[in-house]
Amino acid sequence: MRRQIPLAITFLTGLMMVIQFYIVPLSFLGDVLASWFQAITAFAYVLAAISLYVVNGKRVRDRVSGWPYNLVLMIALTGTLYIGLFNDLLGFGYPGHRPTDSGTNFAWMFQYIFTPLSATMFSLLAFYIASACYRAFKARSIEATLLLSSAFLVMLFRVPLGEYLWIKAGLGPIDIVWFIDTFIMGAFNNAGQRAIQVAAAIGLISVSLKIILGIERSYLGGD
Amino acid sequence: MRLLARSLRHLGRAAIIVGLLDCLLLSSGHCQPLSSGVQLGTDSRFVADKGGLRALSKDFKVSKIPTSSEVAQIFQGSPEVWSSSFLVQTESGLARATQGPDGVALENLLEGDEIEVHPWGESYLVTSKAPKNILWVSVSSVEILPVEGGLKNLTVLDSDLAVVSSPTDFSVLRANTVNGSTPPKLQKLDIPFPLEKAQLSTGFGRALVWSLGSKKALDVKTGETLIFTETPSLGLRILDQGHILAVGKYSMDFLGADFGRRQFLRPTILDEAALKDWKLFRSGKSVQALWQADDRPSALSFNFVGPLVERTLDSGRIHTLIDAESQEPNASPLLFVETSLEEPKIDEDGDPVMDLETRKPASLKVLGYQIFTLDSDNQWRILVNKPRSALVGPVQRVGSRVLYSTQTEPIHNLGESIAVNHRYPYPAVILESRSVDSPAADVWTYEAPRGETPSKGRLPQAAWPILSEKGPLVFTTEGNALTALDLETGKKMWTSPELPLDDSSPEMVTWGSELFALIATKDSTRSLLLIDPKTGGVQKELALNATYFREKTPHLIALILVCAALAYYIYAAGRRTLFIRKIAGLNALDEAVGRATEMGKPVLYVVGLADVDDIQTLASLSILSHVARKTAEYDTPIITTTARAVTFSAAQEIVRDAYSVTGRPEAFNVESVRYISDDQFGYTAGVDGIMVREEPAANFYIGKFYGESLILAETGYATGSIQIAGTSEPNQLPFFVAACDYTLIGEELFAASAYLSRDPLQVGSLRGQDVGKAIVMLMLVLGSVLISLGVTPEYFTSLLGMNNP
Repeated sequence: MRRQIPLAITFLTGLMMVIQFYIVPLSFLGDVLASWFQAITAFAYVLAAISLYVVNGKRVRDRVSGWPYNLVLMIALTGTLYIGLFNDLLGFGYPGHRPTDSGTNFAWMFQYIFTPLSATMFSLLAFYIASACYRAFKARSIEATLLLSSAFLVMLFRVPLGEYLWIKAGLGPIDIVWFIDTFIMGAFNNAGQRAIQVAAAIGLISVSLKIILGIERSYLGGD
Repeated sequence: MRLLARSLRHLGRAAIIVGLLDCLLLSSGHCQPLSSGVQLGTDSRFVADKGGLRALSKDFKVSKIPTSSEVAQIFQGSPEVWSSSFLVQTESGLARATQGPDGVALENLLEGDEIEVHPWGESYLVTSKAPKNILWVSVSSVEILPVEGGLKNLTVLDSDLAVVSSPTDFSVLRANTVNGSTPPKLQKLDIPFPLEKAQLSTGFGRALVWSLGSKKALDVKTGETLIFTETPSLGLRILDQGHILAVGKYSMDFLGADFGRRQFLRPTILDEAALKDWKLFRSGKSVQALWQADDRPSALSFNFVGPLVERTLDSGRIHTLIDAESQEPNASPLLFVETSLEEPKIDEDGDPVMDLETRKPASLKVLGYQIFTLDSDNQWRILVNKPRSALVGPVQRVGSRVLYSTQTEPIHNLGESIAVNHRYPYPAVILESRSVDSPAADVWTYEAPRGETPSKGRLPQAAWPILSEKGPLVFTTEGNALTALDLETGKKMWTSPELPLDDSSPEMVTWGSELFALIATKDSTRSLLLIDPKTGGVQKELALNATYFREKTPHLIALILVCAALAYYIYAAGRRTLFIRKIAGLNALDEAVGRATEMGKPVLYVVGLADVDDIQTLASLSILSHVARKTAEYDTPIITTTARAVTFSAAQEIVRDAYSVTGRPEAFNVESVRYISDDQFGYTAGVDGIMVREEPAANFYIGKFYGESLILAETGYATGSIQIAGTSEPNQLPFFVAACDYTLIGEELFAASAYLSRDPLQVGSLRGQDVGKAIVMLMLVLGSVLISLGVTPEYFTSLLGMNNP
């Protein structure tokens, strides 16, 4: 029963989602099930928050390597939760406003702590792209050489500096940007991406069908 | 065998469902809102919706009329001339529908893009982006009017005259006969000044071709040349011959019935005759003007007969002028003025609300209205002053009465908590009517308990639904019913039963005196309800809803084809052994876990950012099940990180089950599955931290990833882990390929479960996937060939009946 009930639920909900996509009078089912999912998610967050406290609390208690980071996480989590939920208790409440309204302490934290930290993490990507390119673009074989040369063209000549150098070199009559956009990006790159997308979409249908029919069940764990 | 039998049972059920789908596919229906449409004779009414053209017969049967593409609009001239035909504008053309003995036949007149239909007397002038010509259409004739140099713009001035501009010159079209049965001819305008930078301005049925350089203008209608004069103080250039040209030196606001406030930033012609009683006053930096505006198509124009005294109408308080017409010479006009006041904003507890930006108490803008009437001394006298009642819905003259509705904002005092009605948190809509002849004495007000009051969200935009000149007035209530009021007394005549309405305004179609129709708009129960205007009873209900989204037919066909291939090979899988090509990334899974075991370090499994409603996450969880079992077997610690709460719960169960299945439930560590953060880069930072601190020997990034993919993979590379990634996000695949040892590309991710389990049923699905791909490839080649041969996609959509639901 422990396995059959989830499978039955999966079968019914999967079927409902397929049918509501095509049948007008049943199209409301999609929104209904999505709102159910939201409700389930709300409960799951409680479990997730408990997990965060358990995992990090244990590491702080045992003083494992790097435990101050875990402590910082717990303080940040608790502080944010407290300011978000119990603004008024700190004596600087904002009657008539939600915690997320512009001008509240919660919004201040979001704007001046969270956003710069996120931006910092994202900005690392620029350096990582450079280091990954350095490793990936090596002319080890014919294919790798082709990759290297097309990457060189795309990276250099899709920016104004590259276009400027191209014209300075007296190659102005040949529109290099048009060539890259039309052939490399528009043909080879686009075709490759679409091939992956089409195959992935069919794989997706296959997995969905297997899940609905109960053939694929490893996502439930066990057998 | 038991699994196979169960799967076949599931397949049987699925087949029944597919069969039912097919039956539903063949049924007809309607899915879009209807317009009030046109009537041919007394038999049939034709209504247009986005999907097509429908005929409602006298016995209330709905039938469809096939059109080449979606119907945008239908046009019909006066019933005397267009008694048996009307025009149908579709997304890709124009057709004339003519009623014959065998029903309505459509005759295609034009095929083109961006078609515009301009009514012109009893005929129509039609333009399109391509071809760039003018098509003249009358009830019986069609004529192409070529424009030399190409058509730039067509402006219809009145039923006899239209101005045509091309890049090089201007021409006019004059109607040849009264009923417009003979095609008009284009005549070039003789313009007495250089045409360089010349422009055309129209208004009040006049057209001026003018040029600021020459300071001259040509009146197209009379052929006279006009000279600019200027009044610098107001920034207006006033021409003679009854025209005013306002140029954009200063912005100019017009207070009008239809738009409230208009601002002309380009030259606009006004009729001087209509401005004889105009009054200008300043409001801030702009100049505002009030005057009679009888050009408006609305029947609501304000007969501005007396001098306007500025001190009576305080310009600082005027936001919108709403007026009511008085046709009777002795009756006083009514002037509705919207007012506003500001008061401290109070929250539900009665505390003042602070403006968090200025750190000062916030204020609440309360709208109100005033009604002025013109007294015997020709002075405006205030009749009603309701500073807390906002006008909502239209102010409408019906016979000798003016109809309007208001919402009154209650007074809130500091320190007093506000009781909120959570079902109806906004003030009730109150209907009011006032006689134009004796506005002070003859007034009625309709107030009702909540639920029976008019629904604010469904108040009409332009005009109240009145079934006839004598009434009743019909409105939808908050309780989803129709209520009818006697226009003279304001008494309720009837309330209908609850109707299938959603929050949008239902379309009301008046149709004879015995019945009227209302199209109820709740998506799932869309229906045409025929209602008795005497009792409010629903006489008949016609289902308009489509049972099936016909535009998804190609999608469904493709899905059925792919699913059929999958189902066949799943079925056939048990009977023969199928070959599966090697997938290096999946073969390396065990190798990576083995390496971590040898090194005595943990394995890191990153599930991705998406929730369990994404199929990539489910595929990832399937692979997690396999990896967790291996780590349980080898007694290697596993760290699974998740970014979603539901994914966390599912992953925790999978890892726990993996330890149970391998017979070592006590080895499961609750810390092995960790929820990090919902935020993309918070999650990335958390996972990076784990990599750096705990130095896992093998990293798996499988699921849905966005911009964090390379940050994770490069950090893993820096820590020296063996890395296996898998995603079907094409934009992230290059990052993983560059930074990881093995990558599952697109479909390989979805094939993982079958590949790893070697379950015959699952392996069969892989062959089915390949056949699905072959079908897609075949269709791509076929499509390319057909497009090259000139067979358009429209051919297939019409073949599938998608154009005519």
